[in-house]
Amino acid sequence: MSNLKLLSIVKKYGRVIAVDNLNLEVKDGELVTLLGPSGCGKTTTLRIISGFLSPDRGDIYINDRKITDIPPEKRGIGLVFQNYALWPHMTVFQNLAFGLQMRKTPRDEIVERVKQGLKTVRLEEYEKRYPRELSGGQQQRVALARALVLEPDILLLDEPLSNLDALLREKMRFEIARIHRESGVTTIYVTHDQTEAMVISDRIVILNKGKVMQEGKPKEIYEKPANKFVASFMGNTSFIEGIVKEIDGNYTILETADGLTIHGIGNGIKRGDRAVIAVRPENVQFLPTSKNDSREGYFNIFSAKVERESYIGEVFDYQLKIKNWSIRAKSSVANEKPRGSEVKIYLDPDKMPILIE
Amino acid sequence: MGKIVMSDNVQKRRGFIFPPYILLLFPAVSFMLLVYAYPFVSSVLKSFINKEGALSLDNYFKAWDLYLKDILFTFSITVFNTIASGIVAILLAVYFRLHESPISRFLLNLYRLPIFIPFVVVAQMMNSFLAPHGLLNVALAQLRLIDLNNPLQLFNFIGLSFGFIWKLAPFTILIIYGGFQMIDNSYIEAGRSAGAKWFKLITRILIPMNKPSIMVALVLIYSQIVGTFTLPYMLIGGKIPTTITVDIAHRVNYFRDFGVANALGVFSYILVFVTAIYYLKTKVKEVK
Repeated sequence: MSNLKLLSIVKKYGRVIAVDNLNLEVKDGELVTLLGPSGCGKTTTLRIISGFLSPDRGDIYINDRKITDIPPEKRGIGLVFQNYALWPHMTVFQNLAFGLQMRKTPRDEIVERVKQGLKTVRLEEYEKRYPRELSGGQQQRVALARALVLEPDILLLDEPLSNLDALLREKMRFEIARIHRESGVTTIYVTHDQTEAMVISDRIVILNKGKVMQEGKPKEIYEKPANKFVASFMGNTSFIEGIVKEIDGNYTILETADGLTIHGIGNGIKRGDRAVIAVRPENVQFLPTSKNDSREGYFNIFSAKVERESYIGEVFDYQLKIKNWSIRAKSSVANEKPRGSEVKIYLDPDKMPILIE
Repeated sequence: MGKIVMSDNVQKRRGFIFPPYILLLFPAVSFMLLVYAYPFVSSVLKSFINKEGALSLDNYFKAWDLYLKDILFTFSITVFNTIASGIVAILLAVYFRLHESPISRFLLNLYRLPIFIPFVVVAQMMNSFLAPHGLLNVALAQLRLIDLNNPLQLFNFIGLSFGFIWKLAPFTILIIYGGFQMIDNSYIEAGRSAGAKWFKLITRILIPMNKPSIMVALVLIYSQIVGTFTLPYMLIGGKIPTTITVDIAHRVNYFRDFGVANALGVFSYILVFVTAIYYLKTKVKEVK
């Protein structure tokens, strides 16, 4: 069991700062996901941890042992690549045994550990096959077993599911979560897929332009995004812009240029700040259009027009227009709102974060 | 409907019908037949015809009696230089693949030059460089490593090898390095993170993954060495042992003995036959 610490890591490519003063601590057995768009510095960070890139500044520690200047082969880090990187001229068994042979492990122990590794990923029958004889999902599991069989201090996974089709990707998310749970190895997982990150992670670190935007448990990040970037990256979020008009008890009141007044939750926001309110589709409630609705007179009730409706299987997905603002919403299949119809919606203020732009 | 049935019947009667666009192959195929296949078949057939015009193995017996040493010399110099060029090429290609530095970039540009220098120029260069009082011997004498009154004699197996490696290693690097470049960094990084040091990384991962390119490069230079005339002719000439190509020239120029020359040519074909089969098999596999 091991922990990892990154202290003030900086990496520049010319004038571009790929990683900007990154501090991160990953505890024993924890699975932390680095999540962010392309170019946010997540893969660079992973390559710095694995030793294939040197940081311009900062230090890396595993179990309080400084590894910044130690070559990759001596770091005790297991790597799983996006393209699996299984050596095509070796069988599954040979792929798994290679690292053990490099460590001069006795033959009997190699056989035992490889078999155990294949058992972990449920591929016991495939040890004599070549990578080309396996499906994408099986290759990915072999790649995972190859890293795990070496009992690394830290396991790094670099977008390991991006080459798989949607169905298999979903299945493999749970498979990786199970393997992590069973092996208990401290893991850093890199992805740009927020759903993947939510399913797998104990903790998510959101990166943008080399900086940490927010870190926390998946639920916390989803429900309480720290800024507009995080809110836009996690979920299908719509934004309504305005100026903070008032802070009234628990709620912050935002007023838009076209006269909408919306209540939400604002942290550290002052009156007069330019801000946005983040509206997630699942937080938009359709109200009955009758005048007898008990919430009549409450704040955050708006009239909207259905601009677009799409049937996506389990729900209808809508684009609604409230004055000049477009927001996304969902309704059950039984409660269809036709395009062009007028609807009444309620935006629960407790679920409407107000964020600085 | 009737038309389709008729066409089926025609297909069945005549077997495969050549589509008209197959005519596009005509220039290329006729060129191959005329320039390569005809001389090849002709020389093989003529090697079995003796001076009296009868079918016999006389030319082969004569070639065997007179030139066995040269055949073995050709075989050994070919095998040695193929392996030596291969080793030099692999080492340099690995260096270029794994090291990014101003020196490697400079060498990466420099190594290609010999590819564009013809064998006849290489032979002339080697003649001056390796001569008893040539640049190499003079330089070694300056360093007091040899006595110029007793210089190194290099117009033999050693000198020839020097010339072949100088000329052919770059071509080999070109093919092998191309193969190494096709290997994604992740395979190398996976090896390193598994604990492999450079030697193991090269021998267990890079070379096996690039085996097809390496083998094709070796087959191509092997065939080229067997068939090279200029370099052995200008460096060794008529001295014994020499290469088959020099012997062929000798039989034709001095004796007008095309029969033995053709038989010697067949020995060359035999030397490259196995490697040619391997090359074709690899290419067919690639196409499939």
